[in-house]
Amino acid sequence: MANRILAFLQFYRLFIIWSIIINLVLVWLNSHYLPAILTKLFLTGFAWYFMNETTNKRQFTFYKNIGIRPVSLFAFVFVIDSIFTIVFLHVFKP
Amino acid sequence: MIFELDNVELYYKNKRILGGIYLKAETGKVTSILGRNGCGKSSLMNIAFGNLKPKYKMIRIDSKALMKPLYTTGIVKYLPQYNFISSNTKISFVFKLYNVNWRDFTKSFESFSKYETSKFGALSGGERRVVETYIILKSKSKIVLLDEPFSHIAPLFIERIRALISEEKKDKIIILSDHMYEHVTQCSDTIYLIKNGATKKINKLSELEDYNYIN
Repeated sequence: MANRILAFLQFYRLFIIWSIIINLVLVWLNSHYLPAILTKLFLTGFAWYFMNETTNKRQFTFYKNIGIRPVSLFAFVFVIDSIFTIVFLHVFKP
Repeated sequence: MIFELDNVELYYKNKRILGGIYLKAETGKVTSILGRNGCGKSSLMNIAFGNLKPKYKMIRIDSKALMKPLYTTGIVKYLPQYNFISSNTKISFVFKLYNVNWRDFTKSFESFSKYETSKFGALSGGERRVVETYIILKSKSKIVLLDEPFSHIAPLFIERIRALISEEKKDKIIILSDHMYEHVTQCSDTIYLIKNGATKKINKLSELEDYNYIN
């Protein structure tokens, strides 16, 4: 189980820089929580589509080998990133 | 355990790539797939693993049909043709994640001991292939799919990989595909040839000549 969590976090690492940049934009726009979460939902969906339609799809094999479905990876990314976004907005929003 | 792949039909833009496929693999045996370039060997591996969805397919494990992708069962490991571990991942992290012992690895492959704290990007293409193949073979599984495990690897390492395959087949199903047919035939118990999109079981090596796979 611990190894699976490590794998999920490893996958989230791919998106962390982008997430921080988008969070900074959301703070700058003085966004409320719900539009921020919807933005993240849209971007997670876009990331899933982008990876599926390009050779980045190959990266899924690494996770599939430990029994993790791509849809689970993106669900995890969305949940963790939403929590991160809420905390980020709460701390930095003027 | 017995793994069967049956009734596979794969099309690309209305062109039939695979049809009339039957493959049976058992624990304790190495089952190999041979065939010319573009005949669909890698596609068949991808279909077996669950990476590629054909028009039809039937997977049976111990005679029971499996309706979900094989990888979701957690009993299979797949070495694809491409590098499946990204360059910026630490080697030690992957060994930990896949529950493979680094010390055992460096006992067999001493020249790699300097890389424990390195990232995959620090390895050459061949070295990377050796590490990936070792991880796939040694991590816990019941079925191992190896797509071109001998390609891009130095002859000395090929021998060690072959020894590893023989060791691991005792309690695993191993299915492999490679163009280095001499290595393949020497380490295989069962051989299938893909010709015209269908599998043909090879009982004698001379049949490979009959089917114009070798001269």
